[in-house]
Amino acid sequence: MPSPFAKLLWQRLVEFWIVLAILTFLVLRVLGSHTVERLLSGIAHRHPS
Amino acid sequence: MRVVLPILANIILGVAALGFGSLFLRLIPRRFSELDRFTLRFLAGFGLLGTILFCVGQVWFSRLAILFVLLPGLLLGLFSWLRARFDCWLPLKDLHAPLLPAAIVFGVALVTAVGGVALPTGDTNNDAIAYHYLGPKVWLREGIIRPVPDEIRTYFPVVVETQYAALMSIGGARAPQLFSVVSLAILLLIAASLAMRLGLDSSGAWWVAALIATMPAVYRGTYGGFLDALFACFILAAARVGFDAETPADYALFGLFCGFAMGAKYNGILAFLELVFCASLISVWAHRRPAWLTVKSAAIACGAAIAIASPFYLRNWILYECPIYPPAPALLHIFHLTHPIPNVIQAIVNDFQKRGGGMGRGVVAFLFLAFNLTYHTALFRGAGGIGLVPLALAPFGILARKRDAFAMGLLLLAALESVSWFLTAQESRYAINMFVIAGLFGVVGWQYVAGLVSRNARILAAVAVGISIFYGLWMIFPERVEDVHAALSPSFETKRWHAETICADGYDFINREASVKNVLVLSSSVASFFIDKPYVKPFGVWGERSVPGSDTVPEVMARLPALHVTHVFDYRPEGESFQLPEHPPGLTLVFERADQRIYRID
Repeated sequence: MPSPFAKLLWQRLVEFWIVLAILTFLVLRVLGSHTVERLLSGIAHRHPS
Repeated sequence: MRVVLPILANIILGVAALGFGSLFLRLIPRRFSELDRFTLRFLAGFGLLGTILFCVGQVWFSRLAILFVLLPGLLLGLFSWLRARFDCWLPLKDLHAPLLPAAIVFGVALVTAVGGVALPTGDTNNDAIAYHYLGPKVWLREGIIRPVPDEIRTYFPVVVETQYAALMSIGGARAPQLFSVVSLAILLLIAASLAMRLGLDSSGAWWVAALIATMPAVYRGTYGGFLDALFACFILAAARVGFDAETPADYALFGLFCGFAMGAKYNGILAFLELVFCASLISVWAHRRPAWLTVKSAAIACGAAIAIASPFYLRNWILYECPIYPPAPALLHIFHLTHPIPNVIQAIVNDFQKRGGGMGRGVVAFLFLAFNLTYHTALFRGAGGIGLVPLALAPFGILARKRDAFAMGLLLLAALESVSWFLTAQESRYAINMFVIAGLFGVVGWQYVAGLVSRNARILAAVAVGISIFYGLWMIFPERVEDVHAALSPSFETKRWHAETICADGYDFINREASVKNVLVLSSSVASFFIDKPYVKPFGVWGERSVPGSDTVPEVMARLPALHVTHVFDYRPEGESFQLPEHPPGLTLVFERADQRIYRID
């Protein structure tokens, strides 16, 4: 039977792993995709600073 | 008729496969679920049908021959349907469908079915056009199954291509395209079968199906003439049977599926060795069987596998002096060819290395494989990758099933396959079976996180699944939009045919013009699949030489009378010149485009 601390640590570890995977996916596969690149450059063209 | 015949051809083939599969029912363990039995029967039927077609095709291959082969299968299929009192969906009754994953699966299947009606387009860079469809078309025309001399890859094992030939013979060029929906269905059935064996309920099995259907790298192997999905099905079916095998009959069935995998692709040989190793290990370690019994079981499996795959390898050995043709360089020390083809072998090896090293070769690159498969999919022609679930949730699935020998067997198989895939050709389609296993563990992991960990983790896991599926659909649907449009609109299909197929006008002329009886195709870039008439192509893409003693165009032209051709097709790839000079003697120009010329021989 794991101790409450070990259980809590395991829960946080699982959450951290999934969050990390999701964030990396969003950054690399979604924000890094050609579609989003085109979208962002389109916005930049329309709203030049 | 453009839709009816392809559908009819696929139904006939499917019923015949079920019929032939009923011959294996005695071998399929009774302890397996109805879903397992149905799926294994269907797959075994496809394997046997392809093998019989190949054997018959060595001496006679026409529509009549194909119908003769299909007829017993059809009768067996109808007989078993009547015996089941028309309840053909009985095995699927346990798969109660939750709305969301079922809607996703049916959505993908619908797009696949509609898009599958579109005519194939493309060029020799597309494997289906280059050889998966070319072989069947030429066999049907020649009335015999023999490799096409100008395309070395038609020497490969052809358990799936023989079925493409049957489909083409009955339903035309669209029929093997439509077969994609059958491929997808079988892949999802075997995935559901494995999911339930791993302890998931029917809802979990549907989620596995939804995740796998929306994995772009998996989906890409199911349509457009690719046979990788069916190949993966044979391997997964072998694992399903072999890792739970108890009796000699179980091991024989396991061996049969390994044999079908070897009959579908050369990669099947490696997979066969890995499967036998994993099954033996499970037998010794998990089931504590004595070593002699394990060796005997492995021998039964090997015997069955070699027997079922032997027609493909024996044909090559007898006719072309090496069972694996074109031979890998190492095999040349054992098998001595009378007509060596060093240039062709080198070209293939070079291409293999160029295409298959995208993920790197070192230990560090291997350790980063899971990361790169998820995030850097362009490195291995990943067509959008495998989604997020395998990386985010599969580790927990592995933890959850660490005491299940069957699950560990699947994991070991995936690990061994990863190593061999990593060391050979890192093409995403070749790894479909690994991706399916990753998806299975992903859903098991999702269930574990949802059941045992915190509420936050439950929500995060659901978000990961949602992102994975949404992303997959986002990648898949735009990819199929043109196919669906072409299937629904004949005018768009014609437009696409001209836009996507080099030499489309030339093919139309050759196929339409009655005076064209036999064509000499001078450029290796011309996709002979689109030519409906006999042709001679002296130079293949890989350096093949199909006219003995002719290595150059002038040498071929000097032998023109012996080739018995009526026309010459000359194509000029971009940045290059035509093979023939202006106004070649003895030839009359009858068709001309900027990059194509067709001459009549005077």
